[in-house]
Order: sequence, then structure tokens, then C-alpha cells
Amino acid sequence: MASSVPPGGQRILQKRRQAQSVKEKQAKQTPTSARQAGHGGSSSSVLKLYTDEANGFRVDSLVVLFLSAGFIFSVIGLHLLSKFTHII
Amino acid sequence: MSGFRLIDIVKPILPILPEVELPFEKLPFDDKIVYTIFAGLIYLFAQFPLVGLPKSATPAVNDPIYFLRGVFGCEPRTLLEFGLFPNISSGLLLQLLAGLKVIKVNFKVQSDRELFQTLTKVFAIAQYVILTNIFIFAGYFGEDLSVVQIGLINFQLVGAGFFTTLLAEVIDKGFGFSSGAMVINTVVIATNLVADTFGVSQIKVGENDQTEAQGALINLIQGFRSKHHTFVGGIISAFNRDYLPNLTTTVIVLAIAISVCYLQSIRVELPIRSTRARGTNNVYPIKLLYTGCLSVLFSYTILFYIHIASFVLIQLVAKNEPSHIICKIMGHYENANNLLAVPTFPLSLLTPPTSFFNGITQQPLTFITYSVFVLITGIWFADKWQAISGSSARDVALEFKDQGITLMGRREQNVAKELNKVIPIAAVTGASVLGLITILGESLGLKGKAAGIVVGIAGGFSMLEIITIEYQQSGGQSALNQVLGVPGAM
Repeated sequence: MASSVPPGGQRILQKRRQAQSVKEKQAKQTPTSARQAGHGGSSSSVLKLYTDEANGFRVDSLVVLFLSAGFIFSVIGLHLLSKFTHII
Repeated sequence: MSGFRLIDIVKPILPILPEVELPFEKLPFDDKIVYTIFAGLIYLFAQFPLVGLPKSATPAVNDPIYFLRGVFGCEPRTLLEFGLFPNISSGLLLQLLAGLKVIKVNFKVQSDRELFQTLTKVFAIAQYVILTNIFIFAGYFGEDLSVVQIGLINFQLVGAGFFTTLLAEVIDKGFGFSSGAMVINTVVIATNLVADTFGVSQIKVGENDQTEAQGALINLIQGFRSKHHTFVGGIISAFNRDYLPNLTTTVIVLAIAISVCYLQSIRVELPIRSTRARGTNNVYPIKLLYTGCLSVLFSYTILFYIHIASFVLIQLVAKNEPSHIICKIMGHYENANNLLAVPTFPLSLLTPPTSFFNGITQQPLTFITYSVFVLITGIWFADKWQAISGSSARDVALEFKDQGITLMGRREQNVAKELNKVIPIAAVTGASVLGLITILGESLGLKGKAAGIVVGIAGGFSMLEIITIEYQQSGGQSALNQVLGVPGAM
């Protein structure tokens, strides 16, 4: 009971420093993907591109579906136009 | 903020870029099914021929990426000329680069994540623009296009790419099941498989207005009474025609599909137990195909870039003249069936042969170089991806800790070490086995169908897993219950 060694942790100063630096390194490391940071995203077998809502020009999901159908119809319209008028 | 970061360059474009809103609350199971099906249908609907192409019968420049189309849902000379390739490639590459710390992104910070996903989107759309104009100016859509025609083709292809990106985003954002790009890709591959087998659409072959069915099986039945074949000739042609899908390729594709299904079920089951309650033992499965179809997708992404780069050099710069210095170094394109541009020697090393016998007699080295390429890229990718994608041994161990689970007979601190003995090996082995199947199929001359079906089946299973989990969690009210006749439902 002569010297009072603090309980727990590494006994040698050098080792304690080493453990400390490893811990610091891990804390400093940024996650490698959105999923590792805990925000969804790609997993090991699924490639996911979009996880958050960025501050862009907001559009509704239904609007996207209708507009993309509309886009295809516009191409059909172009086909008709080129068939009947020979402009293109 | 120190130094320049790649994700910062999208900041000025941010306000004008459309961004699909996240759903206010979690969508019911049935709504997700409807969104997913409609997004897939709209994409399929876009397999629509382009307006503004010259009417000449045989195009001067043929399709240089014919063997890559099956993997990315591309259809030549339609709105889906480049299919999903720009989306998949930009997602895969950027996430890989961010994971390897080549691009500096701090995924803990929300604004960084937003910028990163915007960068992915911008990169995808930019690729659509670049690829479209490469193909236009290489003469793929015809020589001497007028300005109006160039504008129209740009409008159609870039517009289609733009909407493809948004459709994938709608599904990604939680309106559909997990990953938009992969869901749509799987839908396209499944549709193509059915069309190649049972497609009834009549396609003109030969000069005298002869038509043959697209589907291999339908063609066999039609061959019995077609006018331009004898009875036996019809049957033989059904098995070996090379301008449309034949029965031999269909059978090989089905065999590959079945073997991937089988591989999907191979797994290591680690016994786990709860740290909180006694006697609750279970198993935690680690699949052989840990990275699923992504390793093959990555190999094909790199192949795509190599072939587009050589297409630019050979067709755009050297005009495909065998006497040009570039063509002497890299090879040139040769016409096959008036449809495909098959590269010659140095470039052909990375092009799977159009048929097994052609391969043996004309490009035997390809079997080695192509196999080595697919295997090395696949394995390298699987090794990196399992570590960075957030499903590495350390992440799984953290998950275990959160849920109060530990491996049977291990201390909690050693779980990560123990998992690390299994996960990387499973990922690498799985990737190499998938790569081998792809190589085997492609060497038999499937022109991209082998890689396509591998990606489709492996990706489909990844999707199915997510859909099943979702169904178990919130599918109780689903109308599917009644359709499928689940006991206990209404």
C-alpha cells in the first residue's frame, strides 16, 4: 500500500500516451460515408445517392412524375410535328 | 474552412437546381409501391426513338458501347441513349472518392452532406451533356447535322437525363424503396429479359421486308411457318441468329440468373446473443455477396469510361481512319451487322467478344485481359467499399453494441475484431465469384446480357431485402395482404 496507482487505464506513461493519441485520432477522423455518420445513404450492397434535402429549388415528388411524363409527351409531339410539317 | 474543397464549387448552382422535397411523414407501404412502379414505368416509357435524326437507313458511325448497355439500362437511339450510367457512375465514384478521403467531405455536417449530394447530381447531369455532345460530334446520330437537329438531340437526351436523375431522386428521398437508380435499373433489366424471351414485336431483318419476332421463344414458334426459312432452318436460326436474341443466349442468361440466385443464399451465420436478456439466441447472417451487384457495376463503370475515352480519340479525333496515328496505336472500329462498332486489336483487349468462336479465333488474348480487368477492379472495389460504406466490421460492431447484442462466446470489445475476420473476406470472395460468372457469360458472347443479368439479380435481391423489412415493419395495413391472401387479413 505504499504508492497509490490510480485505478484503471494503462500503467506505463508511454502506453497511456499511445492510447490517448489513438483515441484522439479516432475522434478527429471524419466518417467515410453518410451511413457511417448515421444519416442513411449507401449501404454495403445498395447505392443510394440522395439522403438530405438540399437548399435548392424545391419541387414536389408528384410534380416530378407528371413533368417527366409531360417531357415524354413533348417528344411524341415533336415526332408528330416532324412527320406532318417536315420542319425538322 | 481551410483550402479548396471540391464540394464548394456547386454552391453557386445550388438555388437553381431542382430538389425533390422530403416527404412530411413516413409514407405508407402501398404509396411507396405506387411511386416505385410509376417511376419505373415512366422510365420504361422513355424508350422512345429520338426526333431529328436523319432518315438514312444505315448510320455511318455504329454503336461503340453496345456491350455496356445491358448493365445501365441504355437503349440505342432512344431517349435513353445513356440510360442510368451518369447517375450510377457519379454516385459510385464520388462516394468512393469521399470515402477514400480524396474529396474532403465531413458527413457529420448537414451542409456538407447537402453539398455532396448536389455535387453528385451536377456531375451526373454534366455527364449527360458531355456524352450527348461527344456522340453528336462523333457523327453517331448522322453526319452534317443542322444546328436545329443538334439542339433538338441535346434537348431530348439532356432532358431525359435530367428527368431520370429526378425520378431516381424521388425514390431515394423515401417515396419509393431505397435506391432509385438501382430500382429503375432492376426494372429495366427484368423488362429486357422478358422482351428478349417473349417479345412479340416484329423487327425487320433482311431486305425483302422479312420480319422476325424480338423474343427468342416467339421466334422459334414463328419459325415453324415463316416463309424465308425452311422448317429445320427456322429451328436452327432460332438458336443461332446473331442480330436478335436467340434461344442459346436466353438459356445461358437464365442459367446465370439461377446461379446468382443460388449464390445469394450462401452466407455465414454468426451466433449472437443478447447482453440484456438470457436465452435469447439468434444468428447474424453475413452474405457471401456482401457488396451485392456494386462490384460488377464499378467494373463496368470503369470500362464505360475507357471505351468512351477511346471513342473520343478514335472516332472524334482520328475519324476512324486505320492510317491515322491514333488508330495505329489504339485500334479502330469495325462494322458488325450494321449495328455494332467492334474495336480492333489493342482496344479489343477490354471488349468481350461478340461470340465465343470469334473470340477464340480472332482475339484470344481478350479472355485473359478482360477477365483480369473485371476481377481486379471488382475485388479492389469490394475491399474498399465494405470498409467505407458504413457496413464495415467496426460499424456493425457499433450497431451490435447499440442493440445490446454480442457474438456468442466473445467479449463485447472483441466483436469488431471477430467480424473483421469475416466481412472483408466475404466481400472480396463474393465480388470475385460474381466477377467470374460475369466473365464466363460475357466470354460466351452475350454482349452485355451476362453482366446485365448479374447486376439485375444481385441488385434485385438487395432491393427485395429492403422491401421485405419494410413490409414486416409497416405492411400490416397494406392492400397487398388481401391480394396475396395472407391469413389474418380482412
